[in-house]
Amino acid sequence: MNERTKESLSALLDNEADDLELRRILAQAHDDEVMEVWCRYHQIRAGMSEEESAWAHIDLREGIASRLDEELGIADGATPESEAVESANQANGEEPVKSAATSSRFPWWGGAAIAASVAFAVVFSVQTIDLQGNTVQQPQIVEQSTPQNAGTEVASSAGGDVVEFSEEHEQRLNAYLMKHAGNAALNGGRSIVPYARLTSYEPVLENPEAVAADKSEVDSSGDASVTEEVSTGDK
Amino acid sequence: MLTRIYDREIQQSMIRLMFSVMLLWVISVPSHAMGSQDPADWLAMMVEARKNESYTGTFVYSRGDEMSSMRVAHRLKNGLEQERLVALDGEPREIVRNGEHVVCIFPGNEQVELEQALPSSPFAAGITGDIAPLASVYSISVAGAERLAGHEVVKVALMAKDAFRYSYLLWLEKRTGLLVKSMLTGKKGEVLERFQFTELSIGGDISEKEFIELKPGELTRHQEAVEKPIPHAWEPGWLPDGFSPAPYVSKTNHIMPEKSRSRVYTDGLTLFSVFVEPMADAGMPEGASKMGATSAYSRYLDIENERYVVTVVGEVPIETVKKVADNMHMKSLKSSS
Repeated sequence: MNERTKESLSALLDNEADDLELRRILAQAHDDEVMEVWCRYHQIRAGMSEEESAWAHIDLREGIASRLDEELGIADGATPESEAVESANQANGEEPVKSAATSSRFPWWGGAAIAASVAFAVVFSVQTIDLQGNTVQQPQIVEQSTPQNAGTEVASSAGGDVVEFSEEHEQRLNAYLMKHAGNAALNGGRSIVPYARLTSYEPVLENPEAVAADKSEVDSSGDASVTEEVSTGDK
Repeated sequence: MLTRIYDREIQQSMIRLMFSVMLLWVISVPSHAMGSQDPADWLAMMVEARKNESYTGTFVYSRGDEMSSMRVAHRLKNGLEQERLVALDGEPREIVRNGEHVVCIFPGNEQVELEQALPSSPFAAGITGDIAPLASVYSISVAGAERLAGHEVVKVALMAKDAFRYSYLLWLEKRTGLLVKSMLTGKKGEVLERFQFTELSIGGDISEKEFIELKPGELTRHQEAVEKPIPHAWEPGWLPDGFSPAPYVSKTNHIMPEKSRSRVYTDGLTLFSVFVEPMADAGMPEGASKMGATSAYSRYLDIENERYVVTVVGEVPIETVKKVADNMHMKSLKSSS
């Protein structure tokens, strides 16, 4: 990547990128290195604003790719997340395995239940904040761009009564986001942005097995249809 | 004699000059007038353009540290809106809209209907061009003119008057009002979400290749989607100024748990969704999440031995979704918290 691209990225971040620069970045958007720099710039900038630093950014892709490996039983060459965290902690300064691009290597699209839970996060980093405003959870996440601090954002080191953000939670959050995007598209009329959000989600919803599994889970939870009762009671 | 001819020539050239100045002035007036046009007119134009204009282009969409590019084509054919949105990065996938049908197409031509019965005028809600309600919560102004993606655009700013919503900057093409760029910014002006065409052609004939005819038979999954609004007994104890229930709730339901109910609130520009459901095994933990401009917050609410999860998701600050969720309660049965 050349200096010009870096300048363009920087300009984009400062909202000063012109058409030409945007095109330049766009043309290289598939380049991992470029995206990495983009992430890093973003984090540096986020660090400058105290409000944003409260939402310290966590890049999920690292953990997700590994999780995909696990789920699919493709263990060779892929570091399980827990190990990745450890090794990152031990080998201070050593950059964690780059796996941002690896997710496309696997046919996760057609297959297992994982797609539904993680696909969203592949596209957008999700961060979770507990009630006190501390960054918590995401035990499988390695802070990709700041190797010196790798692992510090990990829930296991946070201790206390940390809520573990499980795959089910992620799946549920994704469902909320999908549904909300649909609502926005219906009511917005403002632009195609809601659709863009929807498209950006990657194929979250489209996995019959995953949906079936999800459904049976809910059904087997044995809850009476409380909301229905409320509904009829209201009338 | 000579001087007289000279004089006459000067006179004539003076007249010509005056004419051209006047002509220039006449030509430039409309664009001047447009520049100072009422922002309400611009917003009304934008809403119309979104629906009626034919256009194709490529845009960049980014939020947080992620960026993706997409191609869009839109036209009005025999009064029917056709739209196709193709993701250019990552897994090939697209969204095709033909009138009321919105279908997601995934690799392997797997087609899934996203929403049924999309209102014929999605703009009936949201922005209608009537900015009176909007103007109470946003300071709206025309903030200059620029050139973007080869088009002359005018910049309309909608600055939030309180901290419960974000500010919007919209760049609209001068002739049609089509949205060319938009930015959503936080309190300190930080950009949370950005949408921008890098290449855009408006009007003219669009190649048939840009569109796809949807065949109902090709739908991989077509689920009977039902609207599941939150029962009226649930009411918000607090809403930010200017927010009221939005008329449409998306019917995309196979992704949501059976017992989930939702409701949507909008201030005419942005919106948030409220979900209520009985606590299940896979329920959300209490807490907040944030990605780009989108905030999500879940909390538990115990009502008569039943634990509910109230979740609010929207393009508003985290404080807003938290406060809304914290104040949701059930009317008849007094909430225990």
